[in-house]
Amino acid sequence: MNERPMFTIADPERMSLLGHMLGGILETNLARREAASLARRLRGSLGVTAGNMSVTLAFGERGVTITRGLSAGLKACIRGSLDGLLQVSLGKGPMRAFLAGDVSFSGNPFFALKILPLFRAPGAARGAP
Amino acid sequence: MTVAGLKALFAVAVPAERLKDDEDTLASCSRDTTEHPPGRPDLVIMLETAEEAVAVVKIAAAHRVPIIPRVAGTNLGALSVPTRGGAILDLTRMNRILAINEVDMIAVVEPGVTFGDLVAELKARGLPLTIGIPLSPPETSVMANCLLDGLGNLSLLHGSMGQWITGLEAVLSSGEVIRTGAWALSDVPFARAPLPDLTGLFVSFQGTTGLVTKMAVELKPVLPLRKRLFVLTYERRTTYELMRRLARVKLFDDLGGLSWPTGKMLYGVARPLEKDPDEPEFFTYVDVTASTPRELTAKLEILVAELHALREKGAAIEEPFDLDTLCAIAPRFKVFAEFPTDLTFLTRAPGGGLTWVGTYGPMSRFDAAADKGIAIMGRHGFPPVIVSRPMKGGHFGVLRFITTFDRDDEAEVQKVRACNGELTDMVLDLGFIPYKTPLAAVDRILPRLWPGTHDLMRRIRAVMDPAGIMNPGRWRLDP
Repeated sequence: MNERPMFTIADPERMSLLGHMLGGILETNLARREAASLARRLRGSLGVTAGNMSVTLAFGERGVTITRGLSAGLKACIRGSLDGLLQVSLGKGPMRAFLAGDVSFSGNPFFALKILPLFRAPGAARGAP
Repeated sequence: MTVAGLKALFAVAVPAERLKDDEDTLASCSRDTTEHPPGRPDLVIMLETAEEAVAVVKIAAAHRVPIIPRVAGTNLGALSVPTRGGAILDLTRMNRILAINEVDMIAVVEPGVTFGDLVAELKARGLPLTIGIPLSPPETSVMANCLLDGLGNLSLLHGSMGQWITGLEAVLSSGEVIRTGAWALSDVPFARAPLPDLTGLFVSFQGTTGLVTKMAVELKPVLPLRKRLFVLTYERRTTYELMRRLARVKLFDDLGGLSWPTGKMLYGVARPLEKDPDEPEFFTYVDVTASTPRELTAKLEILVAELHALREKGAAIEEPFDLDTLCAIAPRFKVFAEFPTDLTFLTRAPGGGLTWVGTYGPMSRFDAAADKGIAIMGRHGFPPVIVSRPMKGGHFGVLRFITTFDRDDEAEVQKVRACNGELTDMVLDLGFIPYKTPLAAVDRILPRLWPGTHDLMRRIRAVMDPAGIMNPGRWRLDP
């Protein structure tokens, strides 16, 4: 059960820079047992919109897939400026970012908050919630 | 003449172990990464001193042996690939930094001194000085980039690097050693002025007028505080407007816009052909340096104000984020952290081909050239990799269309030639000029060149190299 979840960028040639950047972080983090275990337990899709770019991260039995755009049936969505989301990834607490207006959540915010640790950049400070 | 005969000739001037005719050495000098035709040398002579250079030039002139100077061979124009056989003069061992004059901010270098060498030496000596560094590998020759009038990361303020040369020492095919600039009279090569400017006789002539063995070049002060910021713009028009505005502000050291495929190539996508309609079209880096935190803050505030002014006009621009942030999230961007840099991510695709149509031209026409260039590259099936930078305070800029391809696939090579030919015609139509000009571009330039200009170039060449041995074939200067 400790095997690393499968990670895929759907149609990488057409994927936006946001998708590749999130994919890069996710791929690194999934090598860590704690993160891999979290990813295996998650089910559902998260939309991420940074600036004008959007991607969907689908967590399922077969692993994690990043697709271009926002898919139907998202459990939650995070929106913000690219800089705002990068700061969250670098350890700025997501609630602080939310209160500062850097990011916003829709749908089930708990699902979004659960996933966020997977997108913490390696070496980033652990931010307060 | 046989290779053995050539070796016997040059062995008078250079020890036999530095006269190479083995297959690997000859093959490595026979082509570059581009689509330009290969050309095989008969011999490679590894020079170590200016005295050897003089002796070799005299022998070559006496026996009409073509000589082609070469250091790293990374000019992307096959300019050191022989067109008529002969001897490659490998200058990598002539790599001494002969002087660094801290007060007058001038370095004197031999041809084999690389950007990696010079930057390391300045750092090792603890000098707050630097040189304009190109977006190319560390092994690139400082002298070659200056003599070919390339650019560097300080060209926004100081122009193309041919202008940075303050004096030269060169060997003519007669064997005479000449000096240019103030260096012809003063022991300090402080400037091209005020004697008649003969340095230009060696700039962009691609080694056809003489063999340059020493070059004096300007250094620039390094300020202690530095930030490199990235700005994502969603439309190229916004990018070019931003570049024009920031160039005029004269507060920034460098501005470079890279189009969307570059980011994906960093992530290993060899040929990204389709842009996500919602993703930024360009990421632009802005280098800011300052003497004090207050100055740095003021400059950053001005940058933010310029971005705000553009947003007010409806431009879609992300907030700038600094390089440390970007690299923490996406370590692959470290390739853009420091220059010189390793650009192998561009040549990871099968076949390792890398080429460009690199031009200087008016910034007023960047939008039109980029529009047309993107259409041409798309039609030929190549992603629109574009690098743009304003130069000399925005008087002009560099616009490059870069293509990676499989050099071992002849059909693809033909496709690249067709694409670059079409791009060259397009940029010439718009008044841009290919720099480090490859022969394929020369052939498209000559019919358009002002009457008499090429003839004058030929006459200059005939005066300086009556033997016709100096990198023959370049610029079509030979009968």
